[in-house]
Amino acid sequence: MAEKKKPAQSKGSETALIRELADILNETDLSEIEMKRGDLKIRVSKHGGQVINAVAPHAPVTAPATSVSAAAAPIPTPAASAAPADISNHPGAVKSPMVGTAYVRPSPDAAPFISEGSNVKEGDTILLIEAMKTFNPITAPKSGTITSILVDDAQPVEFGEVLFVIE
Amino acid sequence: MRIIELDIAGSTNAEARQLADAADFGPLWIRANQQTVGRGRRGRNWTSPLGNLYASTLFPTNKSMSDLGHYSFVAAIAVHETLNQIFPSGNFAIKWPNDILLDKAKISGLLLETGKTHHQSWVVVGIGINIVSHPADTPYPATSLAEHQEDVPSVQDVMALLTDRFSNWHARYENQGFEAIRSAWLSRAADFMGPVTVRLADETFSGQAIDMDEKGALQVRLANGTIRAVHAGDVFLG
Repeated sequence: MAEKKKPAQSKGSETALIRELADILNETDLSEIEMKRGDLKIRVSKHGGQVINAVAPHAPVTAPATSVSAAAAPIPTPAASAAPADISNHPGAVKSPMVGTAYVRPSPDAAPFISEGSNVKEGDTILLIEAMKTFNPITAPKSGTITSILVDDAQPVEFGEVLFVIE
Repeated sequence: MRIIELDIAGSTNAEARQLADAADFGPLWIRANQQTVGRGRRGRNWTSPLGNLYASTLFPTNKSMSDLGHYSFVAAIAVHETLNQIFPSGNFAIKWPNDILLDKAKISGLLLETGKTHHQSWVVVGIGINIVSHPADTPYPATSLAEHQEDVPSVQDVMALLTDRFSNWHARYENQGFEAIRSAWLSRAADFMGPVTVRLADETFSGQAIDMDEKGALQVRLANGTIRAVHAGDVFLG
């Protein structure tokens, strides 16, 4: 069974987020859920003594480059308070077709392809995923508005990980 | 094979992508005598003076995106074989995934870009080979054929060999699958298996490079025995 560790120290939205992840854990046969959003990384697991582990990984702009508790993890964008449990089931969720490194800008010194709230056309490049020095564009599957971007620049992504939401 | 030769290009990859955007998917090659904005990985500059090879090949593909990285190794083997034919006594090796080294210095770099336009997926493989010169101030030591041989071949001669070798390995990949490419790559990367340092965007770690998997990821065994699959990043010997 999942349970929360020191929930009283968490800020409201993070507590809610952990609660939702824990609920999913209980409703499914999964033993562990890990999610990343911006600088916030949360892993909820049914195994071991410490069942909830939330850290903010290296994030030079918005957070110190040390692991901190969920209480101190920054929420970089308003979108981080949206209901994360629903993201992968969201009809507009676009998932990674491959393992690799995601880039939200064409080169390190260029402007991002898009930002949250951008209106895009079907086929527009939203981000790049690199693997084996091959850069692949992830494009908008339909025209609409990008409501969430769930990856940072140069962030490793797994197959099936939600990259962004288009509505 | 269609070959487009240009005196000056921004970059041959950009030229190839423009063709794909205009619904011309090749297969073709574009070669430029010079590039004004030659690029490496993540916007790194690729100095492109006269006398070296700057070329890109564009071709359509029906493979899934997660397999397109395979072409990185197809191209690496083709370049490795090209250089070996030019300079048979040269000590060439492949550094994961597709840098070609001569006496442990970089003599060739590749950058692949894919896309889908007009409902067709395509791949652009950009190849730079240092024939007459190489930059001095690179993070990874560079070299050129001219540093090792008095008589170097013309760009045209290198290009003719390269297009032939690439066609050969491309066909082998399409007919026999990635396993044929993987074993050919591994035999050319043997020198590179062993201690490596891997630099990712947010971390650096060291271990032993031991293998390459069926996707093309480098398998690195850490000191604690864990094996990490590296899909992207800079790999250094030692």
